[in-house]
Amino acid sequence: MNNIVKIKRSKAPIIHTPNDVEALAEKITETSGGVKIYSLEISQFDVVRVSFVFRAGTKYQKMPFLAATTLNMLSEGTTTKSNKEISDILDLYGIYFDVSIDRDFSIVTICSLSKFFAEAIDILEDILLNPIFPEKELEVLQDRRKNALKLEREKIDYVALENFSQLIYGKNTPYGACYDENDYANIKPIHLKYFYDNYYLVNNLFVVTSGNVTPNIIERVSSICDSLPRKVFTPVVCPIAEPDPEMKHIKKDESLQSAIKVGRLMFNKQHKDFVAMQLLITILGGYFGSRLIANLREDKGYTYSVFAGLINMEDGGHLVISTEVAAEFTQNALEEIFYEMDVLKRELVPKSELVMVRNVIVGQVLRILDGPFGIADVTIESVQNHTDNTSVGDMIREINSISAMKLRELAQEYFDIEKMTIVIVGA
Amino acid sequence: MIEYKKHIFSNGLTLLTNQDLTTPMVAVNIVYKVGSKNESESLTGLAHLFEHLMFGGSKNVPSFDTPIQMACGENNAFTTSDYTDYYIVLPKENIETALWIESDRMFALMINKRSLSVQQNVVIEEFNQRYKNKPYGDLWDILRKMCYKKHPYKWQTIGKSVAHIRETTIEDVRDFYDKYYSPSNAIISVSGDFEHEEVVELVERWFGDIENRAVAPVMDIVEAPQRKARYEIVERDVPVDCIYICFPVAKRMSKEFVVCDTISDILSGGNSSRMVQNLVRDKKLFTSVNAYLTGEVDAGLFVVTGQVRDGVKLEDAEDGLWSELEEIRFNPVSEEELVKVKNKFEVNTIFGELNVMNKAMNLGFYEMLGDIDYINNELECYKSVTFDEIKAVSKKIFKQGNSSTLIYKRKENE
Repeated sequence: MNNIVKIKRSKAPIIHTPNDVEALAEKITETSGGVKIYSLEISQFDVVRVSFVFRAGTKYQKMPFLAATTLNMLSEGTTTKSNKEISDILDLYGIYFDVSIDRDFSIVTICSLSKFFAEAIDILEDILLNPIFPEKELEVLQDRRKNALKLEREKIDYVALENFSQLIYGKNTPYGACYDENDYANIKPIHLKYFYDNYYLVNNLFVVTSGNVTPNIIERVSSICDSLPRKVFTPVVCPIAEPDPEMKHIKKDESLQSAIKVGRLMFNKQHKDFVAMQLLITILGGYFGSRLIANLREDKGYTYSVFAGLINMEDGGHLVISTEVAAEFTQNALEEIFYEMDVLKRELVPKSELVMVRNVIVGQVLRILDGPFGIADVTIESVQNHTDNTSVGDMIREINSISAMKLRELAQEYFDIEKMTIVIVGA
Repeated sequence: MIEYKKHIFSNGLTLLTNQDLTTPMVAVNIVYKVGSKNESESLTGLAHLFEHLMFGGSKNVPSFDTPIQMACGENNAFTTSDYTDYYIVLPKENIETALWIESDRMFALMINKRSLSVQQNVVIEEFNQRYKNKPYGDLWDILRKMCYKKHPYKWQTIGKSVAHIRETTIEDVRDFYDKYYSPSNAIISVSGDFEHEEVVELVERWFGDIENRAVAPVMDIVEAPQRKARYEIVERDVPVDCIYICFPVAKRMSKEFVVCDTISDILSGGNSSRMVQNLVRDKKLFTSVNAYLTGEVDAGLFVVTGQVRDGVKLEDAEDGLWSELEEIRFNPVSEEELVKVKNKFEVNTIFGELNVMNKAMNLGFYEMLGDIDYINNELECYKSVTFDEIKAVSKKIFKQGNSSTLIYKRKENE
């Protein structure tokens, strides 16, 4: 025996809940051209990340796949460098270059070691200011993207997702539209040039920098922003209307599983009930101990995973519950999903569960904020939602103030099974 | 560069700590040195199924997830051919909650028939979702069978078949726990704002009284050298033809592995790499290409692969891959290509050390490999790779007789 204090295994250690969570405040610099640069100085890391965020998401395109193709083609050749020369520089200095796009925004990001930042920002400048969209590289990209989409569409989950979006938002709206993968072939360099000229603008942009950000870096980023052209930019707003609920069943007899999507149109982050609704949906299916996981996976073994989420976009939002279940349990799984919604309409969430889910959310936020890069993503989201990083602390405070009564009211208001859209792909 | 300290407790448990003053979070990682390679061929998938059962509760912790979630924590696990990893990330004030739970399941895991039967179903659904109901889902099942004749790497971590998962009994599971989930077969690593001595004391408090159990010996199975090319064509309902060519390479802790990893980066690391530039951009044989190492502890594979572009003949595509391998065998690589690989390795290392979870996990991984110092020395090893080594290793490895080729073809529409 040693002389260390003996523990009693049956007694759980005391749990401490952090009282308040605050995200690092962003420092705002406005360029002479009016672009806001939000910087998060975390100087203990010798890395820098810079993200340019444009209102150039897919809702702005007038031709299938044009927004994403333009974004992906930015780095495929400039007035001074070929695709190969750009890649050589990125790879030689280990510069991490990434683009991403959603319905509303496109984002161009570089991360590099501080010691290679000069090379990183030079190449980023060239990519943003001088792209030429060479035809040869376009063909390569079109083939790759077409194949990738064809592959996705072999997956039942993806087919369900596309059909679900079409039903919720309408297949002729920017949020609901899906296109034939062969439409990639219609895009020509001239279309890319048009999209770039009209959406990659100084008056249509904000920037987030994080890590070891110095005044020189801010200055360099400012000059790139101000070199982008200025043009009239008209925001596109996706028309939002609650659809008639529908149940769509796409049969795939040979499939061992069924992909299920259940949900309805909701609202976006600006709505007063968004945070409370997010809490309710987390309880239902937003973390590993959620009611849907406990029921469909840990109790019944119907599925490997099930998830519920409140999806936020600029002009609207929706609720979606998503799972892939053993084909023979498709109906049972649907019934259990509705059962769990119904329980939340009838019964108050027990206090212990409410405390636990609040803590789960606090933990999720703390983990995202850890390190120099996650905080940049949080900041981008804050700005996109017309707020700032104080919203993180506000969100946690609001979560802590929401009562079980309020949650039940929300469940009664929104978990109306008659209004749910259902998509099943598989058996 | 990651700083760490090591301590071995009297029951054989190994501890590694990394102090990180910058974060309010702590990561607690436990590696058990057991994976699917420790399974018997007649009952595969057990190591992974067992990982699921580790969340079913233990003697003093009836529900595993609840206390972690109460403590603002996140936990998860994964199983590989070589090891099983469990991790928890939570606010540092709650480190003891993590240690309580991890120690209790090492001390006395509860395994009952009900949780076994539910997790069997969950794992079968995982099997279906990932390996049966997905395009290319059976690809690695076929490749492993082609490439390994003796070594247990010939089956995937998920298992050879759904039947094996269904047939696993409660006795199999208990036996597995006794054989492998012992303190001396485990590595705990902690990264967060703690002094080493503080963590030693905490771990001693929670794990110190767990008795060591004899660990089943590891069998050293070595594949017989391959003499003849292996070749298979399968047709499936997939949208695009794919080609995979695999070559056996030396084990993880060898210079040959580092040289091969360097070669794989020269071939396909980044858009400036040879295969991307030559095969995708110039010759337009493929829409995407890749070269990588499977990275297991024992001798693994060098994989060269590509998605064939519509309208390209499969033979031409296959020849294209071989032409790149010939090129690297006979012609020297450039100084710039080598600098690129070394810079990239350095950047990836630094990016990998930005949060506590990655650091704790890496510490566990390198200790599992058998040489914790390699976590920092590996960079030097990459920097020391020479042109001659690249040439010699390429000559040794990239031979027809050494290859296993799988042509994964799209079924023609009737």
